[in-house]
Amino acid sequence: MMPKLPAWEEIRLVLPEIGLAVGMCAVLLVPFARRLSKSVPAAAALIALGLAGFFAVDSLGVSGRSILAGALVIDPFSQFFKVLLVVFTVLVLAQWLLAGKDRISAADTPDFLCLLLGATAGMALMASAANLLSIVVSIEMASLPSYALAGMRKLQRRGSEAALKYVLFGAVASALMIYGCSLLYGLTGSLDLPTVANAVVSGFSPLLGLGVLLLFVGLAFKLSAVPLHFWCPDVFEGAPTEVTTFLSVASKGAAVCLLTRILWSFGAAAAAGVGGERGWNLLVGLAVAVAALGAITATWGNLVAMHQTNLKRLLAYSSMAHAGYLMMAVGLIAISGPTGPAAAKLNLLPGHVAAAVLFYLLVYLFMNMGAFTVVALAAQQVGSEDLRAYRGLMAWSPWLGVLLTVFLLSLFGMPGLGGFLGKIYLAVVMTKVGSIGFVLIAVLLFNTLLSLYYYMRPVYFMAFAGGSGAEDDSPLADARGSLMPSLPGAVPGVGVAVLVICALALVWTGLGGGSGMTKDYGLIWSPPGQAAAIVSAESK
Amino acid sequence: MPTLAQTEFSHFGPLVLLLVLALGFAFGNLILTHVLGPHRQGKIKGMTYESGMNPIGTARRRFNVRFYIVAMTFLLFDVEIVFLYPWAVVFPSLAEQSALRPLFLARVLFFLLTSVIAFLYAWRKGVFRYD
Repeated sequence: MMPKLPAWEEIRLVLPEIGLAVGMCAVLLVPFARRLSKSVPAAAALIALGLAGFFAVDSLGVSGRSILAGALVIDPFSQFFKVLLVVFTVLVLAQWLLAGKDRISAADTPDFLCLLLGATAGMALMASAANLLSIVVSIEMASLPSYALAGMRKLQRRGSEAALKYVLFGAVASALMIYGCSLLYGLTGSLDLPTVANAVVSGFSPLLGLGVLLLFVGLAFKLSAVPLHFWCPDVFEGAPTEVTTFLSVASKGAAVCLLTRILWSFGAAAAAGVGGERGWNLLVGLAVAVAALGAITATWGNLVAMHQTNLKRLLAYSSMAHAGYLMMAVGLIAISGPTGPAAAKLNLLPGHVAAAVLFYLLVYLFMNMGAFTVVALAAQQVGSEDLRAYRGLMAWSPWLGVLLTVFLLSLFGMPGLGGFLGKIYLAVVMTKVGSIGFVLIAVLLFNTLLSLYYYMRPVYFMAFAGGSGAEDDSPLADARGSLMPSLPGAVPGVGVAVLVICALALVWTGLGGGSGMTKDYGLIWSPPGQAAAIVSAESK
Repeated sequence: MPTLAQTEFSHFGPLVLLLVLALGFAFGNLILTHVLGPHRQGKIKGMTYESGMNPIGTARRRFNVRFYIVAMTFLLFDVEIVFLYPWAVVFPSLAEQSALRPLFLARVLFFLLTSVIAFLYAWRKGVFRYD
């Protein structure tokens, strides 16, 4: 038996991940050349990210294909997500260089950057995983560096608490997921996701159902969906702000992409007619279950966020809510399809859902990036992440105040900013599903209303609450009652520039930019012989 | 690949026997000691066993983290060795006369190289400095 070497065509498609892996090694070896430097490892990391981004953009146009003997799937959906991921990691690094560089010692900088690149590589693989083994390995590769990154604030109790909670929770969730994958492998005889999906849809049994349930347990952990969300606020609060930013978007985005792919594997099986009417009913149940879980997650996140006084915890619950909104739409991809019972009863194509997901992630990237960068910059000056310490921020730094308001409004979904169109596209997906869809839209609207309260609380503290949150000998004290309210040099200009870029991106997406791009790239690969052609999203 | 219905459960016989013997031996010895042994207690008899010497101080104190890090590093390379075993079994029969043979060696050497990089990193971080 002669093992085959992967063809150069296939290796070309995984070059982004290879670039990130090489970057990890390069960053670790930098101390041999230049000890105790922060900028050289950061430069090496940025070069690696640039290469990975170049390769990802280069592979954007490739049509969907399964490579490496079915381990990975490269389609426009996954490659677009990888481009977003790399851009996002560059922005996170920029945030680190601006506001967090001094909190991590020079001896720890290569570790931090290696872990960041490692988590990025794992998340990139998560978007492409099409094999039970790839799913497990990529989730682990994305999670393990995150555990260490969460504890990067070494000498603070909150940081260690965050890391420990994340590790323990994640280890148990991973164990359950791997057990579920082993059950699925044992019962179906194959690691390949389309084959497993076929077997599940055609011959459902309680044991197979248990396997699928446990697999979703692992995914629910990454998504911070309701029964497994308890790690989210503590980890987001205790981790350094750059890591929180990274986890809130990249980790959840990768999990959403993986969930989309797994649900579409099941959906493609049903769309091909496997399992007949019984299989179709099974998938309707699955779709409703995932959407209901998303609804519960969103409601829970919104309700608990109202009580938060720490801005990072508030944004953690807000990220839970956004993951919930995404799950509500992604669940419906299981009952989509261009052929079979899906086409007969509904009008939903997988490309619709994929495009909506990608657009939402694009907008979400800039919203969270901006909000957390403001938190990081303000924490540098004010010294606290508590809402009450933000009193008078609008007077002290109008840039931070106004831009944070823009980001919070976009998170809420104010028309004119990207968050609104993101939610609209999710709602459009829901309208194509009949009565379930209208229930989901009602839940989406209700949750959006709930979220208005806690998104506007920081604005209240910044602009309308009296007094100043800092002690009397701080820069804020000088701003009270002053005619020239903004202090030059208090907030680095580069930081404000990054924030302005994010805000402009939100306005651009709010006016419709980026939606054409996501429609073009929202194509998920279907296994050959099942849903016959990959159909692109039609007009929404 | 057989499914649950077609699995030959008799193949698991030796494994079950191994489990029964191992657990049985361990628990059997414990139970027999408890049942057949003398029941005498005493202050000197109940002291911590330190190979016949008098124990000095308590065991509940802080240990240097270098032991933990060395154990972690050992674990990493141990797992790497585990991955080498199947490769070593298969390698002689791979591509026997073909020119691709060095390539298979190169692939596993690349795998080892990633561990070497980790080793160099640990070295540079001072994991092996024990003073």
